[in-house]
Amino acid sequence: MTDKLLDIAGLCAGTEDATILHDIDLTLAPGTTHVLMGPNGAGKSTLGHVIMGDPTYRTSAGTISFDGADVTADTADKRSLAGIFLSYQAPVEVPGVPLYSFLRTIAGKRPELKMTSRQFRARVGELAQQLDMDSSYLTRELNVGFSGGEKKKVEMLQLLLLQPKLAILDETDSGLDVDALAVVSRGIEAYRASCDGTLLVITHNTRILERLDVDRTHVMVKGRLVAEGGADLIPKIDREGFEQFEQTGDGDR
Amino acid sequence: MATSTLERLNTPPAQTWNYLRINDAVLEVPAIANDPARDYSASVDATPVRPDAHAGLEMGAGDAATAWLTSAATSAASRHTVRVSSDSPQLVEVNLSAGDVTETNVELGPDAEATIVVTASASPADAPSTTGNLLRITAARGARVTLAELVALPDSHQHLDDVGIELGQGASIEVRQYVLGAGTAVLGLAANLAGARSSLTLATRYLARGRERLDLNHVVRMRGTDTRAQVDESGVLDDDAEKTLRATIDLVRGAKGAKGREQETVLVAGDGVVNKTLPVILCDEDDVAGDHGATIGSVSQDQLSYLADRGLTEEDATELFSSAVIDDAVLSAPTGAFRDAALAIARDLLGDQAANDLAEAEASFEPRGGDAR
Amino acid sequence: MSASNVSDVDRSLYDFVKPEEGYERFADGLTPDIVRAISSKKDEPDWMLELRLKSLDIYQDLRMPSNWGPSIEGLDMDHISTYVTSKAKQAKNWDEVPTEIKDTFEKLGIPEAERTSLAGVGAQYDSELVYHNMREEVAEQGVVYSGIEEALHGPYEDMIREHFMSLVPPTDHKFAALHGAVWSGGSFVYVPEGVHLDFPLQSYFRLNAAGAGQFEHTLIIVEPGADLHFIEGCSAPKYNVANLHAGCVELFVGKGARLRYSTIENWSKNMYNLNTKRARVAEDGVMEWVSGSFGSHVSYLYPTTILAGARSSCEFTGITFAGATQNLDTGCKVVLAAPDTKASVSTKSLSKSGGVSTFRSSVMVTRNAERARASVSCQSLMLDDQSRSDTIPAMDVRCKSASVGHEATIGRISDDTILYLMSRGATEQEARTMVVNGFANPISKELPLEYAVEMNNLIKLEMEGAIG
Repeated sequence: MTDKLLDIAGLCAGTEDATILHDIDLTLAPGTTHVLMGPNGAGKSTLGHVIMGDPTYRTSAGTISFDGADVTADTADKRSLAGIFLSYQAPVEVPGVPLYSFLRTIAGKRPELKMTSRQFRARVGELAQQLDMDSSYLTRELNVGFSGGEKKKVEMLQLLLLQPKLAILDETDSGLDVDALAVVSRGIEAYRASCDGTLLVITHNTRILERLDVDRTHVMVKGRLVAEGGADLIPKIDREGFEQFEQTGDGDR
Repeated sequence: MATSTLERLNTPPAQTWNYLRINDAVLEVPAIANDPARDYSASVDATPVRPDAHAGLEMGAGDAATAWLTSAATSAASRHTVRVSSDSPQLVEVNLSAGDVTETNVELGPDAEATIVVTASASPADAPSTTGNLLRITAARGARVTLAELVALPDSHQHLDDVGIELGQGASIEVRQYVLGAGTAVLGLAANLAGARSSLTLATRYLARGRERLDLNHVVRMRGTDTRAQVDESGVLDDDAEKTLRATIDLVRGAKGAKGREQETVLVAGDGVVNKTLPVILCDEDDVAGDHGATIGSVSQDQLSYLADRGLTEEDATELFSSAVIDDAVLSAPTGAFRDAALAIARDLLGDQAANDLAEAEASFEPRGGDAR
Repeated sequence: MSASNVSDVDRSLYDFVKPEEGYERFADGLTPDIVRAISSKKDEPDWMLELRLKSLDIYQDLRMPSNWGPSIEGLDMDHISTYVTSKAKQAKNWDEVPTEIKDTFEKLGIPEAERTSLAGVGAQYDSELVYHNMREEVAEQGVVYSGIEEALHGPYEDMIREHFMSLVPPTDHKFAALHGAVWSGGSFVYVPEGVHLDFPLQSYFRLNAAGAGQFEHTLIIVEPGADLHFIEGCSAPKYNVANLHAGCVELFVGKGARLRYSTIENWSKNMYNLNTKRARVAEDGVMEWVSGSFGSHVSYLYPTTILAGARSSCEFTGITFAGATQNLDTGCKVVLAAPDTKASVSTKSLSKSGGVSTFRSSVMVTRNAERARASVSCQSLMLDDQSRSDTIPAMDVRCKSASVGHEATIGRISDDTILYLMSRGATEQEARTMVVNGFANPISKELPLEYAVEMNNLIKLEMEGAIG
């Protein structure tokens, strides 16, 4: 059991109208770092959201087990409390809710993060400093009017505060600017250093992976996982693109 | 105690079907022995309130409110005129306890700066009362004003707020209003953006529960060229609370290049809620942009998804939105009185532990915007 | 009306007057005697006369609201004749219609449209119907399409009695009361359960007489599962004296039924248009309004939908174009009064040459309307700095699980857009017309082709009017 933090078997999922993910098998061992790559529209982001329990998608076959329990039928909030974290590409603006109140509330839902308010403030202050965030952000409305880089900092702050067992970072968008990229890299490093968490980075931007110790690389094309390899697969993709796999994808049909 | 009824309060410039009962508000207030020959020289300030100084200034809550507030604010301590010049920024604090009614006139000279903070609070032990705030702000060329208002009253009390603002060329005002409690709160605010490039931002946050009644009237007259207005109202209605909002952006002929925007977000959390909204754009000029939007209902789907991914159920999310209104008031409190009044509501609604947490958090974070303390 | 008309359209298409010689015209003003005379001329059942007299009393009591809406000061009821008619009998064949009246409708393209694209046509001239006809195969399915007066003398009297002015009671407002007192003409439509009409029915209302009022009543009952598209057209020549239109439309949409009601209103610019339209929709029913308001001096027009049955829905698509001398207060009302109801409102308005356009709406969500959804979107275009455009939407929401969204924007055509089109060879006038047609496109898309063409003509007329 301990060698499988996340175990996806035979997963098919999609919207009401169309199946997007076909027969996905994916296993992540605790403490490992995985990269999910693939061309635009391959379904990478969808997989991240399906693991998180996004109600937009319907799972039509297969199971998702997390930390030894079948979570296929669980709602997103339950999966979150169980230890799954999904960072958004474009975090949602939540007007009227100060960042401080939000963080206090999400931390308050987790018994393992029980701390006094003084400890909580100290912890949040420390993390903010680590991410080079001014503490005045804490009184601002969650994500409202934040720049792309600022929003990423808020996502990383949550990641470091919650210390989930599994962090899925949805960074599909290659348009991530240099600042935001640096924030994400720093967040990943801090996360890996602070707890022995498992990481699934969804991207087709290889720059983000340069400073990362990758254990496994997975390639998705047209909703199927078509190839898997070590870290050495990344420079190969960087050189040759996804065409080599796309044909495999076609062959599957 | 004798009472009188103030009618046609918070009447917007453009009205609609009367059967909707959205066109105005009514408030029962203590009767005032009206003395038309009031002695203005009794004013405490060296520069007394002149009866005609603000004659043309449009007030948000309407004539009946202005007249009652003027005649109720009779004591010397309750009437002030503050003149602000560019060499000395000023903090004007109006702290209202149970039954207090004040009249305040703030006149800013060219390039002057002022922060005005109005706090209405009372203890549940106080006898039921009406607090009142009559506030006139005139800002000359290039002046900058911040106005923060907090209504934090037990529901045995009511509040009447009547604000009139006039901005000269390039003058700007940023208004934040928090209504966290009051049996009935009637707040009217009218702003005349008379000068070219003058600007207003107005953010109103509220939390109404039980059988509380909240009535808001916002009137923004955009007269100057290239003026800007951004108006946001948002809040949570729980239990049997009733809220009416009228928000008018008036793009007056000649206001070329003006842009006005108004947005309301209401979270309906209670089974007995009545939420009425009348967002109006009046447009008599073509070279302008006006828009408004309203979202009324439960937490939006994308917000719910985001919050669920961080471990919150829909119920948690609704609670977060409610408590956040109070948190926000505390965390951005510009004065000690403001903070304490908001904390009293926090104590009442969220409990001592949460209130203490908030108090400490407020003390340890940099406040948003300028620090008035 | 064919597309080739677009290039050479002119106002004379609508602006012609026919002589009133030999017509029966009741005295101006409003008295119980006039009401009795109208009733007796129609040989009505007693209950209808009672309703008329009661309505007259209510009319005398009610006031117009003084705190909102355009002024109707120019409307002096003492100088409006409530009843004018030719001596002609209602015909089923255009050849039996008096020449000058037939000529009017020929000019308006009605007989041609009937031949090509309609299932039935009714034509009203001043106070009475002059023509009513429906395709035989439609009649065979049990569809009824006739004048109300005619139907009152037949097997549908009880049904009419049950529904007539039940949705719009005379107490609703002053001009609903007036309508109740002096109504004349209009249509009764009954579509039996499950019957789908492949072609629309159309009624056209023409007010020829100067200083007169038109008060037609349209009552449509669409039984469960049935489907109908009804089109209403109206026009009048321009006079220097005020004319009044205070019609009333009552629509009953049964369970799972669908009704589309399309109107192109093009009254002349001396008209006071105080019209009341209302629909009540049962479970799973669908009500669709398509409404174009181009004419009239003053308009008060807010088609109302009451979503009374669970899962019922409505759509309102409207456009209002206010030009010189016009003050058009238009919009709609929706009451979501049952679970899972849905309403969608989308309107456009244009103001030009000193015209005043006001969008006014109300969306009410009752306590029991669980999961109800409503969205309102409203765009206004200012075509010059002489005109005015106001947006006054009201919302009243009382249900926790409902959601209501509203958005409105006001602005003008951007200089960049005009410059872009001019840089491609369009004159400024053409560029502006192009943009306005694009703005109106979502509405014209909803209309049958010939009406879309008519609407584009009207827009073109308005756009060119300013230059001359």
